[in-house]
Amino acid sequence: MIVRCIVNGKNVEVNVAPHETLRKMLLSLGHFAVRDSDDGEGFAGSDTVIFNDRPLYSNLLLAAEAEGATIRTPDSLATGRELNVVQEAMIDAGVVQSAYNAPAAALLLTWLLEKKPNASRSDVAEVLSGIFIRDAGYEHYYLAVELAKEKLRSGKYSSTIAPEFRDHLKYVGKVKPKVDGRQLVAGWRSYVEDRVDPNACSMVLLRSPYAHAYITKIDTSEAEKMDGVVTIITAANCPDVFYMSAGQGNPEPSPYDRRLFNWKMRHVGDRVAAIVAETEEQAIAAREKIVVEYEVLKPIFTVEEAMAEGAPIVQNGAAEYLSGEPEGLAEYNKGVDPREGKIIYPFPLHGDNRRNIASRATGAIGDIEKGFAEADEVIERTYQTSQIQCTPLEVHLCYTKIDNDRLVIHASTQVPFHTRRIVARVCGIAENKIRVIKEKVGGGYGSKQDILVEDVAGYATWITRRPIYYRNTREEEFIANSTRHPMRITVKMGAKKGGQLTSVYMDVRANTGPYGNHCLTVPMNACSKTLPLLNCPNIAFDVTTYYTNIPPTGAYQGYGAPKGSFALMTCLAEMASVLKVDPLEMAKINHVERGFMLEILKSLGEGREGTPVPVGSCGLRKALDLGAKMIDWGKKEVCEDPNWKVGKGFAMIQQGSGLPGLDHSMCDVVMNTDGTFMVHSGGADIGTGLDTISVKCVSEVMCVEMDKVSILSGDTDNTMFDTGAYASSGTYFSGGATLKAALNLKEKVLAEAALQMEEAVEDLSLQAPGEVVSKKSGKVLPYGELIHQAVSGLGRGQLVGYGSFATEDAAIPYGAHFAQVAVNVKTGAIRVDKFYALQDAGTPINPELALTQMYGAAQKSLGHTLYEDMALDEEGRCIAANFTNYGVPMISEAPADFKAVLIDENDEFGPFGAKSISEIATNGAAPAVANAIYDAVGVWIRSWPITPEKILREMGKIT
Amino acid sequence: MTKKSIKCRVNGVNREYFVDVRSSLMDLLRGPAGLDSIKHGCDVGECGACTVLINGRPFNSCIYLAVWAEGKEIVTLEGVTNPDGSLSDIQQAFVDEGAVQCGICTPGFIMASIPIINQETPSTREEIRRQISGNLCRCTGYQKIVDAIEKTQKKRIAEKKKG
Repeated sequence: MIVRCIVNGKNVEVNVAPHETLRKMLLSLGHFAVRDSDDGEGFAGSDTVIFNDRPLYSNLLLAAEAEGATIRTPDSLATGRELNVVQEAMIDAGVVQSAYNAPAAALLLTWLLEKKPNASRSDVAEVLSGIFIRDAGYEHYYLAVELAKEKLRSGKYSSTIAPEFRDHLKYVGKVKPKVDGRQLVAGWRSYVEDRVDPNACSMVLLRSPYAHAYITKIDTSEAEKMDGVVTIITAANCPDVFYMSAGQGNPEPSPYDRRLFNWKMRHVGDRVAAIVAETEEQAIAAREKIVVEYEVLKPIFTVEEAMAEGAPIVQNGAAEYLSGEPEGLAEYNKGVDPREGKIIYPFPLHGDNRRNIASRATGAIGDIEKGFAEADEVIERTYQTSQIQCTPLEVHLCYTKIDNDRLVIHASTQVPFHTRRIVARVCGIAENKIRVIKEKVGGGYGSKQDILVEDVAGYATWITRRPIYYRNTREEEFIANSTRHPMRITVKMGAKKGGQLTSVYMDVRANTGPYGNHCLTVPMNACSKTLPLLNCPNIAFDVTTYYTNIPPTGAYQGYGAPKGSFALMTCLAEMASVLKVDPLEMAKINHVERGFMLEILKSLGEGREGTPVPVGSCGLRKALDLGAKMIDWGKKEVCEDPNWKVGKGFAMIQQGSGLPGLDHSMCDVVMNTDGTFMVHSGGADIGTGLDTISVKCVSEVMCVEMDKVSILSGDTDNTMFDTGAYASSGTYFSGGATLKAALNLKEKVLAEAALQMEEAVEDLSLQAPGEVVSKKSGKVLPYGELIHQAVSGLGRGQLVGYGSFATEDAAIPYGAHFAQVAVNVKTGAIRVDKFYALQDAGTPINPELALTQMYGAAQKSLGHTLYEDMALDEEGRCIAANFTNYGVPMISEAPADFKAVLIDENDEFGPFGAKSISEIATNGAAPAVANAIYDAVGVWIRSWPITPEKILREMGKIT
Repeated sequence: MTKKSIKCRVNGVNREYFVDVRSSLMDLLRGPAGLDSIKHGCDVGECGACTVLINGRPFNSCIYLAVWAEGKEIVTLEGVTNPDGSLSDIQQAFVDEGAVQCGICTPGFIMASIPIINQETPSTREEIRRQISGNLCRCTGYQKIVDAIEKTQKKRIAEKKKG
């Protein structure tokens, strides 16, 4: 049928199917900034348009309803290259990060300011109430609107956007527009989905309805005859290659315990078959025709069930070792069922798969038994965390194609180089046959550290030579993805009367689910990013990870630390209450400070011996003191309504900056033929502002404005190796490599200039706006002239700086998060009234983005603490596999008084003194809120999520 | 602007398109149909880079209206490639004989050669030249192109004889 309407001021006439949605119609007209992150659930708002002057979700409208309508999409906001005031203000406020919903938010806020030029905070909250933001949090959206209002009123901003750092630097530590902010906020072609040829084939997956079962028969013959079917891949015809999905350094500290398709199903949603067809409808129709028979097995879902005597075994295949094979392996592997596959350990992780144990680790300093004997009080508490989904707004997706007889993968990934290696392994081809292009990533949060879609789509394209687009549904994002491992952590703590800890023991029992990706390192991080906060002389830990049949787990921002922090910091507060010591005083007595030797790190390497380092730059005490002052620590607040009790809590936090000794980043910086610069960085900017960090480093060193520096990053054909964006490595490692490359280029530029100017190198230096100057002669040589001489005639060639960054030095970020909550003693309702996140990020290179990363991460972790839970039914089906049931926080759930504060500490190792910023910010909310609830109503809630029901139960009001 | 719905068969699959009545078949195939092998060379039917088969005969798709394709059977180079993505004999022959240089004319030449290589009896080189006379090549000097077509035609005739 024909629909005639006005889109962004233009008359259009479109032929649509009667069942087609308005979004699909707009997409066919090229308006791809009208996006979809919830499959038409009407929750996340990526599909927002202004329809007859009202904001509506275009996925919930039929195209046919648009007859005669006037529609505005985000494409209406910019005029050519000129962004509108709201778009500019969003970039300047730092809310444009992974930015999948930024165009929709810009459209709504523009519409709001057109209606109400003096829009209030509550107007902003109202208009953004249907927009889900996971990356930057909501706080700086209010700031963006203020900035836009000021600009519209007076032509300039009067509000302060963020504090600035390091007066002697021009770009680093200063508020500067994110280099890719324009394209992201405007909704210009950025993401994988924007690169897909409309005629690409579509792939869908058939997934297991059972949590634990063998496939006894699979018949694809009828499906193969269906219209448009290109190929169907199952356990019967997939490569017999074992691998695992985690994008980790090679050799990986995770077992290869899966193939593309397996004969055993280990979770609801496990892959049964991939169907590639010319259209999505055809692929779905063919999927219906596949006949599968299962032998259903008893599933297990908890650590306790996995540990039980006689428990069903999730990974009962033959164990193999690529190195360090233990004795008696042949005996161990006797009688395995070939349908179980294999578990190949690159090196021993001390797993015992025939007892459901994927990996184990242990370590200690001092003598904990001696420490407990010396204590005046010893307590032991157990904490339980739940399974949490990362929920990036852009689902996991990829576009694979053949170009120049090579496999090209347009990926939304944190790890382009690990993706290339793992897909090469699966396809049985060499890395030179594969190119991975990291497109803009619409949210990763750890989940895109795993190769969850590129393996199967890449293989399908490699064998069929067809371009293939694959995209998870939102349900698949929950049931077949990367999630936070549920953990049961027992902490035993001994302390002297005055509060000095004498001994700490942590027993971490982690649930890795069906596969062992990250099975050692995430649970170890629960220890390695928490125990080193304490100056206690006697510390020990045991980490055991179990296989079960829950949906898969993996990396999630914080990487184990939020769970360890919840347990350890809550226990510390519990100990303070037992000792009747002020928890803040207790923290101050027991935390490390600069110079303290972190011996515990020796036993906390990732499957190898770690390196003890001393605490370097450390803003922990400053964060505690300032946070206490801000929240008026020690003052009991009283609510007018006697049913609401108010309490305060806090937690000390730390993380790392990459993995010293393991991570490695490389970069080159080329001087273009006009004296501008091109950076090629292996680093993967996933919306965090890493590319901006790289550009600032080059601008700073070369003394040129940022618009004279462009960057290409995360493209395996055109940039050098980088381990990727995980473990908070971006700023320290990838940024460090760019700084080294820039310094190397500076050296070469000065050497070349010395020859051209016939002067001594020692007399030369660089100066703005991009020239070499001699202090001896006063002569200047602009870069444009310098490079022209170098690359023309018999010149000495192009000037290229190279930087490789690897280190054993640690740059540990520290901080403290404070919360003030109100609890209703009648209903158990919890309100987070104040949340103050104070962090030492060394030199914050992008201060405005640092703040919004803190807001986003703290907001996420408040979600984990209070609302989010991937609840399963008794068969292992996730009953919260959509946004509405799962419960991510929207703007209305944000704390009323929410502040992120950067503690100024210069680090000696990071680029310009910088350390990591965002992962650490997920570690504080759970213990801070748990402690505040105890302060308010006197009960400890030791499991996630902290719900009104649990509070009322602990208070004895319900049973 | 008037638009019209047309139905045709493209590379063996039934398709329906909604097209501007003034647009060319080349616009349709390169645009909504996403078939990049059709090259946009001259727009006036002189260079042959846009050649496709319509009901088995080569046509310059740039001077053929999209609406005329109603009910027709269209084959492009994508339909000549083997279903598994590997090269067909004529494509491989172009590679082997060195008939591909910059490559922009190659799809059109191959489409123009399809009726020739499917003939029952061998052509003279002169006949082959005449049959590809609507296609322009600036790189190769045509000699290698004629070699590739001739070789493939001979091979096919020999295979047919073998049965």
